[in-house]
Amino acid sequence: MDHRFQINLTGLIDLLSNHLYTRPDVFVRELMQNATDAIHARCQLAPQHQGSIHIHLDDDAQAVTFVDNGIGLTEAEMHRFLAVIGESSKRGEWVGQTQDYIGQFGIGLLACFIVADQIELVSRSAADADAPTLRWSGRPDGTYDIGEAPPRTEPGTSVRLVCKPAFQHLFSLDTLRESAQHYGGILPWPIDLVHLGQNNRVNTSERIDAFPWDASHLPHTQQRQYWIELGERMLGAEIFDAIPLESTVGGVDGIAFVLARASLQSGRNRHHVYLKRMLLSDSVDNLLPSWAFFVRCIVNCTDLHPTAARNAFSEDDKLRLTQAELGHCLRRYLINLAEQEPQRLQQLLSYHHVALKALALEDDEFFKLFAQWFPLETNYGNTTLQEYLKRNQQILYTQKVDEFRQIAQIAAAQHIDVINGGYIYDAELLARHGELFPLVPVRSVQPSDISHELQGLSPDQEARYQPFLKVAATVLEPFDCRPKLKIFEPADLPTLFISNREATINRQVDHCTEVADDLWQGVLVQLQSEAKSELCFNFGHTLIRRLAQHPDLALVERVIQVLYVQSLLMGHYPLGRSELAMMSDGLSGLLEWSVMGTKGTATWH
Amino acid sequence: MALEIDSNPYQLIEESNLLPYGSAQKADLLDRAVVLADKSGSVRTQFDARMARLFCATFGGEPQLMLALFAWCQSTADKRPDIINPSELLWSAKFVLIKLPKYARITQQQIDSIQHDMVRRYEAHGASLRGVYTSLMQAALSQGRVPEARVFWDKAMKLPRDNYADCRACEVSNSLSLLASEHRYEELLSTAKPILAGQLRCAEVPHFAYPSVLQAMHGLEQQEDTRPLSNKGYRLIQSNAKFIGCVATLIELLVLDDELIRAAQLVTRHLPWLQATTLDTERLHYTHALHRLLLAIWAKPIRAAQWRQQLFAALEEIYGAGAGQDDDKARLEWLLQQTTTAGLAIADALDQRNANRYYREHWNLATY
Repeated sequence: MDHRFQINLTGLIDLLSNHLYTRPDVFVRELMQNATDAIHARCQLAPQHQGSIHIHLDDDAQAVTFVDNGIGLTEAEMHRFLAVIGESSKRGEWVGQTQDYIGQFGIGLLACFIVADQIELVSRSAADADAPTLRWSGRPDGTYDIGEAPPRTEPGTSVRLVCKPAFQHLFSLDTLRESAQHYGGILPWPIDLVHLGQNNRVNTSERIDAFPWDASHLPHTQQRQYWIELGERMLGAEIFDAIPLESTVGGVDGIAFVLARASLQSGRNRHHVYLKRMLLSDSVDNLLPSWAFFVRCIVNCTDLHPTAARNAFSEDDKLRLTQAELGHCLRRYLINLAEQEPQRLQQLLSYHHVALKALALEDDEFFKLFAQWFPLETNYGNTTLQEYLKRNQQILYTQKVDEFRQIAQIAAAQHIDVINGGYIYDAELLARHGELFPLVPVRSVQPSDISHELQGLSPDQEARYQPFLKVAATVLEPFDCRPKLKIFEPADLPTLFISNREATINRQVDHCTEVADDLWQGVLVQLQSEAKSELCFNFGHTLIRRLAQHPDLALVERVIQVLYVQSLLMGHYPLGRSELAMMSDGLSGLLEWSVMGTKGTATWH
Repeated sequence: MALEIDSNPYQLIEESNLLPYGSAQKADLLDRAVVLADKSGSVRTQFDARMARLFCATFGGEPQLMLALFAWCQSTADKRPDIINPSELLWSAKFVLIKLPKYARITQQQIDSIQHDMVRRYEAHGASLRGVYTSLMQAALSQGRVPEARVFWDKAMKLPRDNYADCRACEVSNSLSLLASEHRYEELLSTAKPILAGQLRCAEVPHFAYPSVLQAMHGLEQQEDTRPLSNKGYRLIQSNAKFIGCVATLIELLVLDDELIRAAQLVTRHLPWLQATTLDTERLHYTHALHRLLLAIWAKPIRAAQWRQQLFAALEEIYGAGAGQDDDKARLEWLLQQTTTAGLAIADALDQRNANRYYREHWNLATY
């Protein structure tokens, strides 16, 4: 036997208000949207029809009535469209095609129950000259009734809501005007808000048929400034530039605003999107390709499908093609900028290089044009790839910021020019450079690669200082660190701690193992690799030369302990418990030795 | 790890939140946050900094560090229940369960003990085991125990969803890997529809979904429409080493589609991930993918091509060069031997621990 689902309307309303809709004044949007759809439908019947929407706020501000001169509803349409959830008028056989209308889900009217206990709708259909005027009253318990009402002279619909006490604040003149402007401010017909006999026009533009961003009435040279001022007014942010957007797929028309501040890669920008001139949302996040997080848009579209929550579009083929077209507009703008206003491009890059790097990773042609200007950090300071390649035949880069810092300590002295690839996208971009321009070798370097190139001692010297290296190996062994004797610049650097990625992770795992419980200690030990870090002693440094020859191996051991911990501190590495303990031992031993030294024992100097 | 004298760990954590997972810069900021937190002497701050680093390691492809940091955090929470609520770790525990069996070195006994410990902790907190069973499903899959994975999944789906369970998008995405392993491709494609339509999204959804969907399309011989999906899927995962397994699947499928140049480009581009990953399952998967590529090249007449030279040179950096450097056929033969040896060594180590022959038997298949 078949059963039917039961729907708890009160629960559904709660769901809508608490989870689906982000603003409590959403009923204004839904009613204006219905009115707009009704006017569109009537225009299908009578193309010369002049639509209008009036919003009447009662004198005591306890109720509001939305009146439109759209197509109106017959009794059959009331039963079907107002009382069956999911049966939006825009799905059925209203005049025209489904895509002519904004509402698609048939749940809009329920938004009214968030703020009112009863919806009273009076309508007369324009489809039939003899159509009666009907009153439909709906309640949140799911009941409704329909009856004849005093005749309306004009076809159209009015919806009256008496506010719940908790939502009184939404029924003030100022709030209603703000909501109506927010949602319907660019509708092409007059919207009037009437209260205490006073008429307040909501959409005050002199060019009501044009979009606010339509600058076709201005000379070309003034359009950019016009858009920037509009963007700053509407988005409340400082704007660097404005880019006209157009996509035939999706019917998109609008402006992308380049923000005069660094863009955040982590979150998509929220766009101000109108659907058939009704505000869909001011936080649509999937209109543009993912790399375009350096702009915020104000656009109207006519042919994209919003999700039920109305803060995004359905990810269908149409959206994908639209994203591609809009991406093309942005890309074309950037290329024009590069060709015609390079200074301005530099300024844009200072804010948005991360976004443009993301784009370059997706688009080889863009990469080839822009890679040269991307800012990079090297051990010789900040530069661009173009400048870097003027002074180098190959590209050397580190994968991690930490590796760069280790190498940077000595790279300049070794005449090595290394790029810090640890910043977002840089390592990938440099690797991609190698793919696109194979004649310029690209090599990822690790700290140990540089240390291998440091000058070693002669075999004789190595043999002579074996006792020192042996002591050092014993001291460093518990820390998975190997000693090396090298000669390197800068000469005033006594030691250099070198740790490749694996060794660095080993150190971190070691520190955690010291704290972990028994069960986990066993697991973490299994995870350790063979990788070791290195402590390079600089034989060019006076202290190290003396230390390597010092006969008192107990003293040498103490000094090595302190030098090891000092090198960690210099590199700002976290210290484990055993390293802290060793530093303490080393310092105590040195102090003790120092005190003994004052009693006549051989001193350091 | 340069430290700003006037910064504090929480500032660095906040700064890191602006960066995507997988970026070295984010990891670096959080490493510095840990150092500063340790200097602060506050256990709470040390815990918070390590938790932030733990999430970064979890979602940024540093599993070894993730496990170590989890161990630190759990032990610290156990010792200091006065300042750390043990439930703060329950959510992260699920990811630990998934990663453990991916290391051949970790014994079955250790895996079992930690799984039991997690279940005990969830029960002690009165939390639903839905999330735990979902993770156990994934763990069983990575041990080649597909029927067992199905049992865990069915159990999970009968339990209530609470704050510790995955979101619906993640659950649907997780179910795709199970359906792929069961070769239930039609069901997989129908299950994936809301993800592909963008109706279900999360931090890693649809990232993990695309390879499974593409695999199913190949299984159903619908590969004529796969290129746009493959490109879109790749764009999502190309910058985060956590997705090395997904990249491996995409390479395997490109080889099946005879798109060898593109496959070679991806193999070369992501070789640093292969060298960096510590997960045996992922190393094996990637090695398998590049081995399949080499086999496909072997099956074709050898012609001089720059892309092939670049591929061979890159692989020889890892596997060493054999004799006959002037002879492409000899180089290829050498690389095939090396990848077979490396791949089967990992497969055998995993199979030995898992007490089955799953990975050995899958070595000769087109996809893992």
